[in-house]
Amino acid sequence: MSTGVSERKKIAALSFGLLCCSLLLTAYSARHPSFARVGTSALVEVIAPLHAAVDFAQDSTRSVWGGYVGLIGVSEDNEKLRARISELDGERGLLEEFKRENDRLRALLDLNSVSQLRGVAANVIGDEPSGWGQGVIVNRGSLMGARVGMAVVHPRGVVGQVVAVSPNYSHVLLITDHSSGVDVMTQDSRVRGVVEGVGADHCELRYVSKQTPLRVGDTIVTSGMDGVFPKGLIVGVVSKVAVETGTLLQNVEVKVSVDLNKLEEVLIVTGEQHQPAKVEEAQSLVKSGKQGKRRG
Amino acid sequence: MAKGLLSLLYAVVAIALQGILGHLGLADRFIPQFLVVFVVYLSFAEANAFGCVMSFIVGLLLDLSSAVLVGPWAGSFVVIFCVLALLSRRLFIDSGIAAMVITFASVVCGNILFSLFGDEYPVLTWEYPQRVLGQALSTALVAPLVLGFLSRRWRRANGAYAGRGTSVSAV
Repeated sequence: MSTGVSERKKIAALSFGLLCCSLLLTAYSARHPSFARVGTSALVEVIAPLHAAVDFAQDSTRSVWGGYVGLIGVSEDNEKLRARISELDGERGLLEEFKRENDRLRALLDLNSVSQLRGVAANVIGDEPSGWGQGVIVNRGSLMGARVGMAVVHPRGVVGQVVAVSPNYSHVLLITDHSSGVDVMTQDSRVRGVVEGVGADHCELRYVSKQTPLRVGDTIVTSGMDGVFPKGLIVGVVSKVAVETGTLLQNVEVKVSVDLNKLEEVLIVTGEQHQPAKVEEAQSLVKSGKQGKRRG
Repeated sequence: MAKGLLSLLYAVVAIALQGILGHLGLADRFIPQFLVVFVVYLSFAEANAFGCVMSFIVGLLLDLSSAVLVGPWAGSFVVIFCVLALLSRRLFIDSGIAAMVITFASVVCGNILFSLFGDEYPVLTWEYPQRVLGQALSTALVAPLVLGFLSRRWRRANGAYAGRGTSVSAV
């Protein structure tokens, strides 16, 4: 465990050099975001199968637990009956799970068809590994048409943007991430601003002047001006408005309409034939649980 | 060569594991930072140029997993490695408690350095210390197990001669 003086000097010099190197890389990747994605695709392709395997194991375990392990401890007298009940319960649970999944996928399809967004439905199979950023990994990649920069949406609203793609998986940066920004406007007054993530489960609406009337509860939708998100998709609602003295802008907090902690299925928007009014209508239909009202 | 591949394999598995734990529902603030434990291990078992470069590389891998900035974690890990490697003659992580304390301090310092390098997080929020301390605590709790595992694997990779890592067994 002895570290010689020369060895220690060598470590210090090398560390200093690598530290400088990392600072240069940080500065460069901040100016050139595409540089940060170099290698991410390969890494995602390597780690995503592990995520998918665990996801599968989790589902299987849940299913086994519901259908078999739950029977342990049943008294002998009622063993057969309880086994039958448990089997039926397991099946019912499974069917309920299928039904819910079907509802979610149907909602995605509704959004897809009514808003005329062309997209690829994807399952969320993993979270951002570092624990600091806000991102998820989904099981659709370039082979299914996903590309860097594509918008990712949910029937309830905007989810984020694809930032790295491998053949079979994509890394999605959520709108709540610090480095995420979406050009938006209020649904009623059409006031424009930029929604930026703050790392928690909400965002902030920036660049709105103090003179602009904003109320808690105002719905925020995408403006379509950023060239990423189609116009009219719901982002969230204003949850807090604060006006400080000495500043020109308001501090506006936005509660995201999608529960990003419980994402399961999302739609990667590969293209659109956009009709904004219908998008908003579709989302309000999905939100209120109504279905079937479609316009051509 | 074998140690380099083993390091990369461990880094990839650790990154995947951190993502999986998040996906399974564990709150971000309680997800252990397995890679910091690995850097702590390297700083004691491989207090040389190899350990330094590997710390940088595993940091880069963690940066790449976020697809946002390349470099903040790499820089943080290099600093952690450098400090611990230079102190490795005076510090010992043979006991579980010592391993936990050193890991706890490393995670706290690593996260602060990451925030400074990457400007990724508003430090003046209540969530920040909660997250840093939560991650440091959870990482410190798993550190003895991970260090013990690494020690055994490293010894096997080194063959008959276990190098400087022979005394790094926290369990």
